[in-house]
Amino acid sequence: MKEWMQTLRGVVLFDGAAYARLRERGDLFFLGFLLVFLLGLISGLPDLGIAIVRGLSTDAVVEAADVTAEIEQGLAQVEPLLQSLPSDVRDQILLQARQGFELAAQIGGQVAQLPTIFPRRLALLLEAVGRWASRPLAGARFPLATASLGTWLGYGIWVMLMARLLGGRASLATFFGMTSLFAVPHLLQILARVPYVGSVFSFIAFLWGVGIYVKATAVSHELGTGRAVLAALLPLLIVAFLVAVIAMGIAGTVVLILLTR
Amino acid sequence: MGTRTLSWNLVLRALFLDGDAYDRLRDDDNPFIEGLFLVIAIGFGTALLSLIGQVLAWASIPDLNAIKQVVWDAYQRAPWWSEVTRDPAALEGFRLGWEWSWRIISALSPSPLTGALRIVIWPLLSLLGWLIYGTLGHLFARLLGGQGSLNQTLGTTALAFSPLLLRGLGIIPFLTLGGAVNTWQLICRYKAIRSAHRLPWTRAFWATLLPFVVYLLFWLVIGGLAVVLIAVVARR
Repeated sequence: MKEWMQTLRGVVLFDGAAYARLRERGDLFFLGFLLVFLLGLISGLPDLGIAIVRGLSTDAVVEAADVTAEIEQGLAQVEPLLQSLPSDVRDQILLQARQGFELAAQIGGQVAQLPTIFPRRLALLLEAVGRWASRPLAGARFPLATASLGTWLGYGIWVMLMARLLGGRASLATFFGMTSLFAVPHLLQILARVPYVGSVFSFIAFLWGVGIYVKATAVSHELGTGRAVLAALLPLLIVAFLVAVIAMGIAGTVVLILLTR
Repeated sequence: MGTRTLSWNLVLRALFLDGDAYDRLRDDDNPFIEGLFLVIAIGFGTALLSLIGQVLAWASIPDLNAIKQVVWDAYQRAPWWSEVTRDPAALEGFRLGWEWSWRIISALSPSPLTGALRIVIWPLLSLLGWLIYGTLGHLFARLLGGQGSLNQTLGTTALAFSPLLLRGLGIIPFLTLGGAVNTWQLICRYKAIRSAHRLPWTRAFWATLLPFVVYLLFWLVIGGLAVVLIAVVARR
Protein backbone atom coordinates (compact mmCIF):
# COMPACT_ATOMS: atom_id res chain seq x y z
CA MET A 1 0.00 0.00 0.00
CA LYS A 2 2.86 2.35 0.93
CA GLU A 3 4.60 1.61 -2.35
CA TRP A 4 1.36 2.22 -4.25
CA MET A 5 0.87 5.59 -2.55
CA GLN A 6 4.46 6.56 -3.37
CA THR A 7 3.84 5.67 -7.02
CA LEU A 8 0.68 7.77 -7.08
CA ARG A 9 2.59 10.66 -5.50
CA GLY A 10 5.22 10.32 -8.25
CA VAL A 11 2.47 10.27 -10.87
CA VAL A 12 0.83 13.52 -9.74
CA LEU A 13 4.28 15.17 -9.62
CA PHE A 14 4.99 13.99 -13.21
CA ASP A 15 7.90 11.76 -12.10
CA GLY A 16 8.89 9.73 -15.19
CA ALA A 17 10.20 6.80 -13.10
CA ALA A 18 6.79 6.36 -11.42
CA TYR A 19 5.07 6.19 -14.82
CA ALA A 20 7.67 3.71 -16.11
CA ARG A 21 7.20 1.49 -13.01
CA LEU A 22 3.45 1.43 -13.52
CA ARG A 23 3.73 0.58 -17.21
CA GLU A 24 5.36 -2.73 -16.34
CA ARG A 25 2.44 -3.97 -14.24
CA GLY A 26 0.33 -6.78 -15.67
CA ASP A 27 -2.97 -5.79 -14.05
CA LEU A 28 -3.05 -2.19 -15.27
CA PHE A 29 -6.59 -2.13 -16.66
CA PHE A 30 -8.02 -3.59 -13.45
CA LEU A 31 -6.11 -1.03 -11.39
CA GLY A 32 -7.28 1.73 -13.72
CA PHE A 33 -10.90 0.65 -13.31
CA LEU A 34 -10.57 0.57 -9.53
CA LEU A 35 -8.86 3.97 -9.45
CA VAL A 36 -11.45 5.74 -11.60
CA PHE A 37 -14.38 4.05 -9.85
CA LEU A 38 -13.18 4.72 -6.31
CA LEU A 39 -12.08 8.29 -7.00
CA GLY A 40 -15.43 8.95 -8.69
CA LEU A 41 -17.18 7.72 -5.55
CA ILE A 42 -14.91 9.65 -3.17
CA SER A 43 -15.24 12.95 -5.07
CA GLY A 44 -19.03 12.53 -4.91
CA LEU A 45 -19.09 12.08 -1.12
CA PRO A 46 -19.93 15.75 -0.34
CA ASP A 47 -22.95 15.61 -2.66
CA LEU A 48 -24.04 12.35 -1.00
CA GLY A 49 -23.67 13.95 2.44
CA ILE A 50 -25.72 16.99 1.42
CA ALA A 51 -28.43 14.79 -0.11
CA ILE A 52 -28.63 12.64 3.04
CA VAL A 53 -28.80 15.65 5.37
CA ARG A 54 -31.53 17.18 3.19
CA GLY A 55 -33.36 13.87 3.15
CA LEU A 56 -33.23 13.56 6.94
CA SER A 57 -34.48 17.11 7.53
CA THR A 58 -37.61 16.86 5.42
CA ASP A 59 -39.05 20.15 6.61
CA ALA A 60 -41.41 21.38 3.87
CA VAL A 61 -40.97 25.06 4.80
CA VAL A 62 -37.15 24.84 4.74
CA GLU A 63 -37.27 22.91 1.45
CA ALA A 64 -39.54 25.46 -0.19
CA ALA A 65 -37.28 28.30 1.01
CA ASP A 66 -34.20 26.44 -0.38
CA VAL A 67 -35.84 25.93 -3.75
CA THR A 68 -36.97 29.57 -3.96
CA ALA A 69 -33.46 30.75 -3.05
CA GLU A 70 -31.94 28.49 -5.72
CA ILE A 71 -34.37 29.80 -8.34
CA GLU A 72 -33.58 33.42 -7.49
CA GLN A 73 -29.83 32.66 -7.49
CA GLY A 74 -30.09 30.99 -10.92
CA LEU A 75 -32.08 33.87 -12.40
CA ALA A 76 -29.61 36.42 -10.97
CA GLN A 77 -26.80 34.53 -12.76
CA VAL A 78 -28.68 34.52 -16.07
CA GLU A 79 -29.77 38.20 -15.94
CA PRO A 80 -26.37 39.72 -16.96
CA LEU A 81 -26.36 37.47 -20.05
CA LEU A 82 -29.63 39.08 -21.20
CA GLN A 83 -28.41 42.68 -20.91
CA SER A 84 -28.19 43.10 -24.69
CA LEU A 85 -31.94 42.48 -25.04
CA PRO A 86 -34.54 45.30 -24.84
CA SER A 87 -35.72 45.72 -21.24
CA ASP A 88 -39.36 44.69 -21.94
CA VAL A 89 -38.23 41.49 -23.70
CA ARG A 90 -35.77 40.74 -20.89
CA ASP A 91 -38.44 41.27 -18.22
CA GLN A 92 -40.84 39.02 -20.13
CA ILE A 93 -38.23 36.22 -20.40
CA LEU A 94 -37.34 36.48 -16.71
CA LEU A 95 -41.02 36.53 -15.69
CA GLN A 96 -41.80 33.42 -17.72
CA ALA A 97 -38.69 31.65 -16.43
CA ARG A 98 -39.62 32.51 -12.83
CA GLN A 99 -43.20 31.30 -13.34
CA GLY A 100 -41.92 28.08 -14.94
CA PHE A 101 -39.50 27.37 -12.09
CA GLU A 102 -42.11 28.17 -9.47
CA LEU A 103 -44.58 25.81 -11.11
CA ALA A 104 -41.92 23.07 -11.20
CA ALA A 105 -41.11 23.72 -7.52
CA GLN A 106 -44.82 23.51 -6.60
CA ILE A 107 -45.14 20.21 -8.46
CA GLY A 108 -41.95 18.89 -6.82
CA GLY A 109 -43.23 19.87 -3.36
CA GLN A 110 -46.60 18.19 -3.87
CA VAL A 111 -45.10 15.03 -5.37
CA ALA A 112 -42.77 14.81 -2.36
CA GLN A 113 -45.83 14.71 -0.09
CA LEU A 114 -47.42 11.76 -1.93
CA PRO A 115 -47.33 8.45 -0.05
CA THR A 116 -44.71 5.80 -0.87
CA ILE A 117 -44.40 2.18 0.27
CA PHE A 118 -41.09 2.91 2.01
CA PRO A 119 -40.92 5.76 4.56
CA ARG A 120 -39.97 8.98 2.78
CA ARG A 121 -36.61 9.31 4.52
CA LEU A 122 -35.55 5.82 3.54
CA ALA A 123 -36.71 6.49 -0.04
CA LEU A 124 -34.65 9.69 -0.21
CA LEU A 125 -31.64 7.88 1.27
CA LEU A 126 -31.87 5.12 -1.37
CA GLU A 127 -32.20 7.71 -4.13
CA ALA A 128 -29.17 9.64 -2.86
CA VAL A 129 -27.08 6.45 -2.71
CA GLY A 130 -28.21 5.44 -6.22
CA ARG A 131 -27.22 8.81 -7.68
CA TRP A 132 -23.89 8.71 -5.84
CA ALA A 133 -23.12 5.20 -7.08
CA SER A 134 -23.99 6.29 -10.64
CA ARG A 135 -21.41 9.05 -10.55
CA PRO A 136 -18.31 7.00 -11.51
CA LEU A 137 -20.25 5.33 -14.33
CA ALA A 138 -21.62 8.45 -15.99
CA GLY A 139 -20.11 10.47 -18.81
CA ALA A 140 -18.77 14.00 -18.54
CA ARG A 141 -20.04 17.23 -20.06
CA PHE A 142 -16.49 17.78 -21.31
CA PRO A 143 -13.77 15.14 -21.93
CA LEU A 144 -11.73 14.32 -18.78
CA ALA A 145 -13.73 16.80 -16.68
CA THR A 146 -14.71 14.20 -14.06
CA ALA A 147 -13.34 10.93 -12.71
CA SER A 148 -15.77 8.60 -14.47
CA LEU A 149 -15.69 5.48 -16.61
CA GLY A 150 -17.70 7.30 -19.28
CA THR A 151 -15.00 9.85 -20.01
CA TRP A 152 -12.07 7.48 -19.31
CA LEU A 153 -13.24 4.84 -21.80
CA GLY A 154 -15.44 6.98 -24.08
CA TYR A 155 -12.81 9.61 -24.81
CA GLY A 156 -9.87 7.26 -24.35
CA ILE A 157 -10.91 4.99 -27.20
CA TRP A 158 -10.47 7.89 -29.66
CA VAL A 159 -7.17 9.00 -28.12
CA MET A 160 -5.93 5.40 -28.35
CA LEU A 161 -6.80 5.36 -32.06
CA MET A 162 -5.06 8.70 -32.70
CA ALA A 163 -1.97 7.61 -30.73
CA ARG A 164 -1.77 4.39 -32.77
CA LEU A 165 -2.08 6.36 -36.01
CA LEU A 166 0.71 8.66 -34.79
CA GLY A 167 3.02 5.67 -34.24
CA GLY A 168 2.10 4.61 -30.69
CA ARG A 169 2.68 1.02 -29.60
CA ALA A 170 0.75 0.53 -26.35
CA SER A 171 -1.72 -2.28 -25.84
CA LEU A 172 -5.29 -1.35 -24.88
CA ALA A 173 -4.79 -2.53 -21.29
CA THR A 174 -1.57 -0.56 -20.85
CA PHE A 175 -2.96 2.62 -22.40
CA PHE A 176 -6.20 2.60 -20.42
CA GLY A 177 -4.45 1.57 -17.22
CA MET A 178 -1.94 4.39 -17.52
CA THR A 179 -4.43 7.08 -18.55
CA SER A 180 -6.72 6.22 -15.63
CA LEU A 181 -4.22 8.20 -13.55
CA PHE A 182 -5.87 11.40 -14.83
CA ALA A 183 -8.52 10.71 -12.17
CA VAL A 184 -6.13 11.24 -9.21
CA PRO A 185 -6.26 15.09 -9.17
CA HIS A 186 -10.04 14.87 -9.31
CA LEU A 187 -9.89 14.18 -5.58
CA LEU A 188 -9.87 18.00 -5.42
CA GLN A 189 -13.49 17.90 -6.52
CA ILE A 190 -14.34 17.08 -2.92
CA LEU A 191 -13.93 20.85 -2.52
CA ALA A 192 -16.14 21.69 -5.51
CA ARG A 193 -19.00 22.69 -3.18
CA VAL A 194 -16.93 25.30 -1.32
CA PRO A 195 -18.62 28.66 -2.00
CA TYR A 196 -16.85 31.00 -4.49
CA VAL A 197 -13.65 28.92 -4.91
CA GLY A 198 -15.19 25.49 -5.55
CA SER A 199 -15.13 25.87 -9.33
CA VAL A 200 -11.46 26.94 -9.14
CA PHE A 201 -10.60 23.60 -7.47
CA SER A 202 -12.52 21.77 -10.20
CA PHE A 203 -10.67 23.68 -12.91
CA ILE A 204 -7.28 22.95 -11.32
CA ALA A 205 -8.23 19.25 -11.08
CA PHE A 206 -9.19 19.25 -14.76
CA LEU A 207 -5.94 20.91 -15.96
CA TRP A 208 -3.80 18.72 -13.71
CA GLY A 209 -5.68 15.63 -14.92
CA VAL A 210 -5.14 16.60 -18.57
CA GLY A 211 -1.40 17.02 -17.89
CA ILE A 212 -1.23 13.54 -16.36
CA TYR A 213 -3.30 12.13 -19.22
CA VAL A 214 -0.86 13.49 -21.82
CA LYS A 215 2.16 12.18 -19.86
CA ALA A 216 0.49 8.75 -19.48
CA THR A 217 -0.28 8.66 -23.22
CA ALA A 218 3.33 9.55 -24.02
CA VAL A 219 4.79 6.92 -21.66
CA SER A 220 2.40 4.10 -22.55
CA HIS A 221 2.73 4.60 -26.32
CA GLU A 222 6.40 5.58 -26.15
CA LEU A 223 5.61 8.83 -27.98
CA GLY A 224 7.17 12.27 -27.71
CA THR A 225 5.27 14.93 -25.76
CA GLY A 226 4.23 16.74 -28.96
CA ARG A 227 2.63 13.66 -30.45
CA ALA A 228 1.03 12.72 -27.15
CA VAL A 229 -0.55 16.20 -26.90
CA LEU A 230 -1.76 15.86 -30.47
CA ALA A 231 -3.22 12.40 -29.80
CA ALA A 232 -5.01 13.66 -26.67
CA LEU A 233 -6.40 16.78 -28.38
CA LEU A 234 -7.21 15.55 -31.89
CA PRO A 235 -10.51 13.81 -31.03
CA LEU A 236 -11.75 17.01 -29.39
CA LEU A 237 -10.54 19.17 -32.28
CA ILE A 238 -12.17 16.88 -34.86
CA VAL A 239 -15.49 16.99 -32.99
CA ALA A 240 -15.24 20.80 -32.62
CA PHE A 241 -14.50 21.09 -36.35
CA LEU A 242 -17.46 18.87 -37.28
CA VAL A 243 -19.80 20.78 -34.95
CA ALA A 244 -18.61 24.10 -36.45
CA VAL A 245 -19.15 22.80 -40.01
CA ILE A 246 -22.64 21.50 -39.17
CA ALA A 247 -23.54 24.75 -37.34
CA MET A 248 -22.32 26.83 -40.28
CA GLY A 249 -24.26 24.60 -42.66
CA ILE A 250 -27.47 25.04 -40.65
CA ALA A 251 -26.91 28.81 -40.30
CA GLY A 252 -26.19 29.10 -44.05
CA THR A 253 -29.36 27.18 -44.90
CA VAL A 254 -31.46 29.37 -42.60
CA VAL A 255 -29.98 32.57 -44.11
CA LEU A 256 -30.59 31.21 -47.62
CA ILE A 257 -34.23 30.42 -46.80
CA LEU A 258 -34.74 33.89 -45.28
CA LEU A 259 -33.13 35.63 -48.28
CA THR A 260 -35.17 33.73 -50.86
CA ARG A 261 -38.47 34.50 -49.17
CA MET B 1 -17.00 -35.10 -23.61
CA GLY B 2 -15.06 -31.85 -24.01
CA THR B 3 -13.21 -29.95 -21.33
CA ARG B 4 -14.68 -26.85 -19.74
CA THR B 5 -12.56 -23.72 -20.23
CA LEU B 6 -15.05 -21.18 -18.96
CA SER B 7 -14.61 -20.04 -15.39
CA TRP B 8 -15.33 -17.00 -13.27
CA ASN B 9 -11.62 -16.18 -13.34
CA LEU B 10 -11.50 -16.36 -17.15
CA VAL B 11 -14.49 -14.01 -17.46
CA LEU B 12 -12.91 -11.49 -15.09
CA ARG B 13 -9.63 -11.65 -16.99
CA ALA B 14 -11.50 -11.03 -20.26
CA LEU B 15 -13.35 -8.13 -18.63
CA PHE B 16 -10.02 -6.54 -17.72
CA LEU B 17 -8.64 -6.98 -21.26
CA ASP B 18 -6.28 -9.89 -20.65
CA GLY B 19 -5.65 -11.12 -24.21
CA ASP B 20 -4.73 -14.59 -22.97
CA ALA B 21 -8.30 -15.13 -21.71
CA TYR B 22 -9.70 -14.66 -25.23
CA ASP B 23 -6.98 -16.94 -26.67
CA ARG B 24 -7.88 -19.69 -24.18
CA LEU B 25 -11.55 -19.70 -25.14
CA ARG B 26 -10.60 -19.53 -28.83
CA ASP B 27 -8.57 -22.72 -28.37
CA ASP B 28 -11.37 -24.55 -26.52
CA ASP B 29 -12.80 -27.66 -28.23
CA ASN B 30 -16.23 -25.98 -28.55
CA PRO B 31 -16.12 -22.22 -27.91
CA PHE B 32 -19.72 -21.75 -29.13
CA ILE B 33 -21.25 -23.86 -26.34
CA GLU B 34 -19.15 -22.13 -23.68
CA GLY B 35 -20.11 -18.74 -25.17
CA LEU B 36 -23.80 -19.64 -25.29
CA PHE B 37 -23.77 -20.53 -21.60
CA LEU B 38 -21.90 -17.35 -20.71
CA VAL B 39 -24.19 -14.97 -22.64
CA ILE B 40 -27.34 -16.48 -21.13
CA ALA B 41 -25.84 -16.60 -17.64
CA ILE B 42 -24.80 -12.92 -17.76
CA GLY B 43 -28.22 -11.85 -19.09
CA PHE B 44 -30.13 -13.92 -16.53
CA GLY B 45 -27.92 -13.19 -13.51
CA THR B 46 -27.75 -9.43 -14.01
CA ALA B 47 -31.52 -9.29 -14.67
CA LEU B 48 -32.13 -11.03 -11.33
CA LEU B 49 -29.93 -8.52 -9.49
CA SER B 50 -31.55 -5.65 -11.36
CA LEU B 51 -35.00 -6.91 -10.29
CA ILE B 52 -34.06 -6.28 -6.66
CA GLY B 53 -33.04 -2.71 -7.49
CA GLN B 54 -36.24 -2.16 -9.48
CA VAL B 55 -38.43 -3.33 -6.60
CA LEU B 56 -36.56 -1.11 -4.09
CA ALA B 57 -36.85 1.91 -6.42
CA TRP B 58 -40.54 1.20 -7.10
CA ALA B 59 -41.23 1.11 -3.36
CA SER B 60 -39.45 4.47 -2.97
CA ILE B 61 -41.46 6.51 -5.45
CA PRO B 62 -45.14 7.52 -5.29
CA ASP B 63 -47.75 5.95 -7.55
CA LEU B 64 -47.32 7.28 -11.11
CA ASN B 65 -51.04 8.02 -11.54
CA ALA B 66 -50.97 10.19 -8.41
CA ILE B 67 -47.93 12.10 -9.78
CA LYS B 68 -49.70 12.50 -13.12
CA GLN B 69 -52.73 13.99 -11.36
CA VAL B 70 -50.56 16.44 -9.36
CA VAL B 71 -48.86 17.66 -12.55
CA TRP B 72 -52.20 17.96 -14.40
CA ASP B 73 -53.74 20.01 -11.57
CA ALA B 74 -50.66 22.26 -11.44
CA TYR B 75 -50.79 22.88 -15.20
CA GLN B 76 -54.40 24.00 -14.90
CA ARG B 77 -53.31 26.66 -12.40
CA ALA B 78 -50.49 27.87 -14.68
CA PRO B 79 -50.82 31.31 -16.36
CA TRP B 80 -50.50 29.80 -19.87
CA TRP B 81 -53.24 27.22 -19.38
CA SER B 82 -56.09 29.62 -20.35
CA GLU B 83 -54.32 30.32 -23.66
CA VAL B 84 -54.08 26.59 -24.41
CA THR B 85 -57.76 25.97 -23.64
CA ARG B 86 -58.83 28.91 -25.84
CA ASP B 87 -57.71 27.04 -28.97
CA PRO B 88 -59.32 23.56 -29.34
CA ALA B 89 -56.60 22.40 -31.77
CA ALA B 90 -53.84 23.45 -29.33
CA LEU B 91 -55.68 21.70 -26.47
CA GLU B 92 -56.00 18.50 -28.53
CA GLY B 93 -52.30 18.63 -29.44
CA PHE B 94 -51.40 19.21 -25.79
CA ARG B 95 -53.51 16.24 -24.65
CA LEU B 96 -51.93 14.00 -27.28
CA GLY B 97 -48.40 15.02 -26.21
CA TRP B 98 -49.38 14.63 -22.56
CA GLU B 99 -50.65 11.04 -22.98
CA TRP B 100 -47.61 9.99 -25.04
CA SER B 101 -45.21 11.56 -22.52
CA TRP B 102 -46.80 9.62 -19.67
CA ARG B 103 -46.71 6.39 -21.62
CA ILE B 104 -42.96 6.86 -22.07
CA ILE B 105 -42.46 7.86 -18.41
CA SER B 106 -44.48 4.82 -17.33
CA ALA B 107 -42.35 2.50 -19.49
CA LEU B 108 -39.11 3.95 -18.08
CA SER B 109 -40.19 4.04 -14.44
CA PRO B 110 -39.02 1.30 -12.10
CA SER B 111 -41.56 -1.42 -11.47
CA PRO B 112 -41.49 -5.08 -10.40
CA LEU B 113 -43.11 -6.03 -13.72
CA THR B 114 -40.39 -4.31 -15.78
CA GLY B 115 -37.78 -5.98 -13.58
CA ALA B 116 -39.38 -9.40 -13.95
CA LEU B 117 -39.69 -9.03 -17.73
CA ARG B 118 -35.96 -8.33 -17.91
CA ILE B 119 -35.27 -11.85 -16.63
CA VAL B 120 -36.65 -13.11 -19.95
CA ILE B 121 -35.78 -10.18 -22.21
CA TRP B 122 -32.13 -9.58 -21.29
CA PRO B 123 -30.89 -13.14 -21.96
CA LEU B 124 -32.90 -13.29 -25.21
CA LEU B 125 -31.65 -9.91 -26.46
CA SER B 126 -28.10 -10.75 -25.44
CA LEU B 127 -28.34 -14.04 -27.31
CA LEU B 128 -29.70 -12.36 -30.43
CA GLY B 129 -27.13 -9.55 -30.27
CA TRP B 130 -24.33 -12.05 -29.76
CA LEU B 131 -25.33 -14.25 -32.70
CA ILE B 132 -25.87 -11.32 -35.09
CA TYR B 133 -22.70 -9.44 -34.09
CA GLY B 134 -20.62 -12.61 -33.93
CA THR B 135 -21.71 -13.70 -37.41
CA LEU B 136 -21.22 -10.25 -38.97
CA GLY B 137 -17.88 -9.78 -37.19
CA HIS B 138 -16.79 -13.19 -38.43
CA LEU B 139 -17.76 -12.37 -42.04
CA PHE B 140 -15.88 -9.07 -42.01
CA ALA B 141 -12.86 -10.59 -40.29
CA ARG B 142 -12.71 -13.33 -42.94
CA LEU B 143 -13.07 -10.74 -45.71
CA LEU B 144 -10.13 -8.87 -44.16
CA GLY B 145 -7.94 -11.98 -44.14
CA GLY B 146 -8.88 -13.54 -40.77
CA GLN B 147 -8.20 -17.23 -40.15
CA GLY B 148 -10.62 -18.05 -37.30
CA SER B 149 -13.71 -20.26 -37.53
CA LEU B 150 -17.26 -19.06 -36.77
CA ASN B 151 -17.18 -21.31 -33.69
CA GLN B 152 -14.09 -19.50 -32.40
CA THR B 153 -15.46 -16.03 -33.24
CA LEU B 154 -18.70 -16.74 -31.37
CA GLY B 155 -16.74 -18.05 -28.40
CA THR B 156 -14.49 -15.02 -28.06
CA THR B 157 -17.25 -12.48 -28.79
CA ALA B 158 -19.27 -14.10 -26.00
CA LEU B 159 -16.43 -13.22 -23.63
CA ALA B 160 -16.83 -9.64 -24.86
CA PHE B 161 -20.20 -9.64 -23.07
CA SER B 162 -18.35 -9.58 -19.74
CA PRO B 163 -18.72 -5.77 -19.29
CA LEU B 164 -22.48 -6.37 -19.10
CA LEU B 165 -21.74 -7.82 -15.66
CA LEU B 166 -21.80 -4.19 -14.54
CA ARG B 167 -25.57 -4.29 -15.10
CA GLY B 168 -25.58 -6.35 -11.90
CA LEU B 169 -24.91 -3.06 -10.09
CA GLY B 170 -28.57 -2.41 -10.88
CA ILE B 171 -29.19 -4.07 -7.51
CA ILE B 172 -28.62 -0.53 -6.21
CA PRO B 173 -31.91 1.34 -6.74
CA PHE B 174 -31.84 4.48 -8.93
CA LEU B 175 -28.45 3.54 -10.39
CA THR B 176 -27.79 4.79 -13.93
CA LEU B 177 -25.21 2.87 -15.95
CA GLY B 178 -24.62 5.29 -18.84
CA GLY B 179 -22.75 4.46 -22.00
CA ALA B 180 -19.47 3.33 -20.41
CA VAL B 181 -20.56 -0.32 -20.52
CA ASN B 182 -21.15 -0.16 -24.29
CA THR B 183 -17.73 1.39 -24.89
CA TRP B 184 -16.13 -1.24 -22.68
CA GLN B 185 -17.95 -3.96 -24.61
CA LEU B 186 -16.73 -2.48 -27.89
CA ILE B 187 -13.14 -2.62 -26.64
CA CYS B 188 -13.65 -6.26 -25.59
CA ARG B 189 -15.18 -7.06 -28.99
CA TYR B 190 -12.04 -5.73 -30.65
CA LYS B 191 -9.94 -8.01 -28.42
CA ALA B 192 -12.26 -10.93 -29.25
CA ILE B 193 -12.14 -10.49 -33.05
CA ARG B 194 -8.38 -9.92 -32.97
CA SER B 195 -7.84 -13.05 -30.90
CA ALA B 196 -10.18 -15.29 -32.92
CA HIS B 197 -8.74 -14.28 -36.29
CA ARG B 198 -5.16 -13.31 -35.34
CA LEU B 199 -5.52 -10.08 -37.30
CA PRO B 200 -3.22 -7.04 -37.17
CA TRP B 201 -4.73 -4.13 -35.21
CA THR B 202 -5.97 -2.07 -38.17
CA ARG B 203 -7.87 -5.00 -39.72
CA ALA B 204 -9.25 -6.08 -36.35
CA PHE B 205 -10.39 -2.47 -35.83
CA TRP B 206 -12.38 -2.46 -39.08
CA ALA B 207 -13.77 -5.95 -38.53
CA THR B 208 -15.02 -4.77 -35.11
CA LEU B 209 -16.65 -1.59 -36.42
CA LEU B 210 -18.13 -2.75 -39.73
CA PRO B 211 -21.01 -4.74 -38.13
CA PHE B 212 -22.18 -1.42 -36.63
CA VAL B 213 -22.19 0.11 -40.12
CA VAL B 214 -24.49 -2.77 -41.17
CA TYR B 215 -26.73 -2.04 -38.14
CA LEU B 216 -26.86 1.64 -39.12
CA LEU B 217 -27.76 0.84 -42.73
CA PHE B 218 -30.42 -1.62 -41.55
CA TRP B 219 -32.07 0.97 -39.31
CA LEU B 220 -31.85 3.63 -42.03
CA VAL B 221 -33.68 1.27 -44.42
CA ILE B 222 -36.29 0.44 -41.74
CA GLY B 223 -36.70 4.16 -40.97
CA GLY B 224 -37.06 4.97 -44.67
CA LEU B 225 -39.67 2.25 -45.14
CA ALA B 226 -41.57 3.51 -42.09
CA VAL B 227 -41.62 7.06 -43.50
CA VAL B 228 -42.90 5.78 -46.87
CA LEU B 229 -45.55 3.69 -45.13
CA ILE B 230 -46.73 6.62 -43.02
CA ALA B 231 -46.84 8.85 -46.09
CA VAL B 232 -48.94 6.28 -48.00
CA VAL B 233 -51.34 5.80 -45.09
CA ALA B 234 -51.65 9.58 -44.56
CA ARG B 235 -52.54 10.12 -48.26
CA ARG B 236 -55.46 7.69 -48.16
